[in-house]
Amino acid sequence: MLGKKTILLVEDNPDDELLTLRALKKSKIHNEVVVVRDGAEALDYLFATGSFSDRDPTQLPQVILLDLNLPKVGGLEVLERLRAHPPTSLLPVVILTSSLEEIDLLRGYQLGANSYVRKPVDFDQFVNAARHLGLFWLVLNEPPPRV
Amino acid sequence: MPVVNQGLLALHRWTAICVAILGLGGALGWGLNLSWLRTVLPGEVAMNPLSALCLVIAALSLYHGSRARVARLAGRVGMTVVLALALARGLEHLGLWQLGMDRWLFPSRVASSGNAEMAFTTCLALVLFAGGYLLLGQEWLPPGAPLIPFIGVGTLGLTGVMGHLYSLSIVHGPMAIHTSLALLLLGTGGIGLVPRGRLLNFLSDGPVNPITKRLLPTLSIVFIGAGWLLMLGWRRGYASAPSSLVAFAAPTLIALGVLILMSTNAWVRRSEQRFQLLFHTLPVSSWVYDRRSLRFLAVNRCALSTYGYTAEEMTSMTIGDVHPQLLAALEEDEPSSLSGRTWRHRKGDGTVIEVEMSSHPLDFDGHPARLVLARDVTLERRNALELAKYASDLETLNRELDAFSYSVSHDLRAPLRSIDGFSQALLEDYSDSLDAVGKSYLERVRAAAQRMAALIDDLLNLSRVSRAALKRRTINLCALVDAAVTELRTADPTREVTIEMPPNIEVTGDPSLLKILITNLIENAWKYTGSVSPARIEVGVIDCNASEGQIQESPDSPTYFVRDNGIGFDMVHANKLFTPFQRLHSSRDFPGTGIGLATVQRIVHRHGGRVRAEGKVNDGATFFFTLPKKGSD
Repeated sequence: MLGKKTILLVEDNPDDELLTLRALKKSKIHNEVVVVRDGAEALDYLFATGSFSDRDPTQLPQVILLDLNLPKVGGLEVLERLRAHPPTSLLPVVILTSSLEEIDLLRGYQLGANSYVRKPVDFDQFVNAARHLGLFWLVLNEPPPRV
Repeated sequence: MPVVNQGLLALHRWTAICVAILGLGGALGWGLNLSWLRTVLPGEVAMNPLSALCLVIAALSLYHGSRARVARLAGRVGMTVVLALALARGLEHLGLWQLGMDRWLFPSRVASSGNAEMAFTTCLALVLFAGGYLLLGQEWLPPGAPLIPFIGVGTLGLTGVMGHLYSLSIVHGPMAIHTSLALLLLGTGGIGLVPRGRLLNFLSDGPVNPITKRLLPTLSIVFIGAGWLLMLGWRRGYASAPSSLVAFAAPTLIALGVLILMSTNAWVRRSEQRFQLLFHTLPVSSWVYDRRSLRFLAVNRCALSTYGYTAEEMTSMTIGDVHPQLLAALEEDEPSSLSGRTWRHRKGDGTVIEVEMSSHPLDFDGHPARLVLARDVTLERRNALELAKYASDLETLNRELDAFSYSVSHDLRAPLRSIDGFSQALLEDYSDSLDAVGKSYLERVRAAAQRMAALIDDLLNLSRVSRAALKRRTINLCALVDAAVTELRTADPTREVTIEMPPNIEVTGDPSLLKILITNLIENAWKYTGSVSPARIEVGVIDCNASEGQIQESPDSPTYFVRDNGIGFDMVHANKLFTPFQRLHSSRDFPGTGIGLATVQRIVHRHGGRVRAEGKVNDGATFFFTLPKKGSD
């Protein structure tokens, strides 16, 4: 494996995408961020299928920031399929969403999300959250061994 | 205590009084030396003074027969004395000993009056009565057992009375007329004392009693009177003994027949009236129809008004006119095919009603018939259908609301994030091109976006509070208060607020809802004590019976309260407190959305409790609420 720690951002809203990237940049996180804009694209990227068929499937991101409300394939379904697929079954997934509905929280954790973060409206808080996330998942946290 | 009905209670009292009068009369006859009191009729046998004494004691015991324990005990002692006396005198009659008991009282007057002995039958009757009395209430005996001696006493008394009536000294022997009468009364009264004295049940009210009440006294008078007349005729030589017997039998038989017929007719008529009344006042359509011709034989008023016919019209119709569909079912002649389902009936004006029927075969004046009860369930059915529709509509609506809230939660916030985020980006990246006013405008845009986000969150909370299923558990309210206060202290470490509460307030309710409830109330108190020093928040329970708790609840539902010494509010506006978006303070002074207390109220209501607020301007506010253990959801 190569030492580059990438982040996979699954986000359909271009504003949110821009803001998330900005928040990450503001928090001095300079890792590569791969952005995919719906659930199907996210799965293609991770499984190296479809438009990503020429990608090396062993190259996996350090962490996935996953929105729930996604076109085509929803965030929870992406999570479910990831967990069912052995190479990605242990991949750290952070759900990053607007929803605080109990059912989403419950399903998210049931399907094996590693953490659940609500996108704050206040951008200062968002930057703060991004900094914490980056620090934790890219620096502090030891990733699972490759299988 | 065995059940003795009122008629029987009165019976033993009245007979006791009569016996006492008779006994005292006899005794007075001796005491005052009045021979008519001793014999009643001149030349007859006299009541022995000892008999008189025994009768008076027996009367007293009889009167108190069903009284309290002390009186009953006295009665038992008295009856034991009577038993001993009567038994001794009886044995004297049998020649066992010579005690001269007849002359124990008023010896000289008894000696000079001649015919004044205490008759053997008197002794026997008194022994029987005393025995029966002492056997009353003995648990080892069947409760009706004392009836036997009491009937014996009555029979002996009646025999004596009849003997005197018919002037047959061989029948009454040496028993005085008032002694006989007293014994008859004693026997009757004794029967009244027996619990569940079935023999005299006719004295109470019941369907057969009119017959027995009338028959028994009338027949007694007829029999005794006819016998007396014939005896008189035979004595005077108008008739021989056999012809007297025939003359006795014929009229008494006729009298008996007439009486029975009259009584039963009256009884049947009354019973018929009662059932007619019942039939017609029944609030359910009911009729009887002939099973062969299918004609209506009887129709009650409810049926006439329900189906819209007159009685004449309906009795000229067959049930097919009301319900053609019925005929098929009737051919099976199965009552079960009629009951337990609804049928469509046609009314007189052509409209159709739905009915539930039950049916029972019966014989109606010799016709094989059927009694039908038909309950109109048209309205009921319609209501049930409507209710089911409402329920399903409501369910759909709820699902839509769920989807709506979900979408609000997710989609409404995204643009706000953009507004806030890009305003911040402008402020950061283009601060050189913006002057102070421009920057302040952008700050205002950001503040507004954040305020709207708070509003959305509160609204979602409010709707979540209404939708979530209630899971009741026992939890400590104080732990929730602690958690809320800790959070507030972390957010604002400079504030100094004293919290007063007991270590433990146990409540039953939904943990997550109660957490929202307490958090809202504590945050409120925290917020509105911001300008007060020292700030104080008090949490506690009050006994709902205490004067302070005006919320009327059952005693198992105490009233909890959260009190602060903050800026309070004017009670004039108290009704607005719990309405969403209604605020009593400007958001400039106290930030807030105006949804917190609406959420509090909804949580309390979902637990079946009540909430109210008390306050005074600049003198704090108190929020009271109850959480019944079994509330409506």
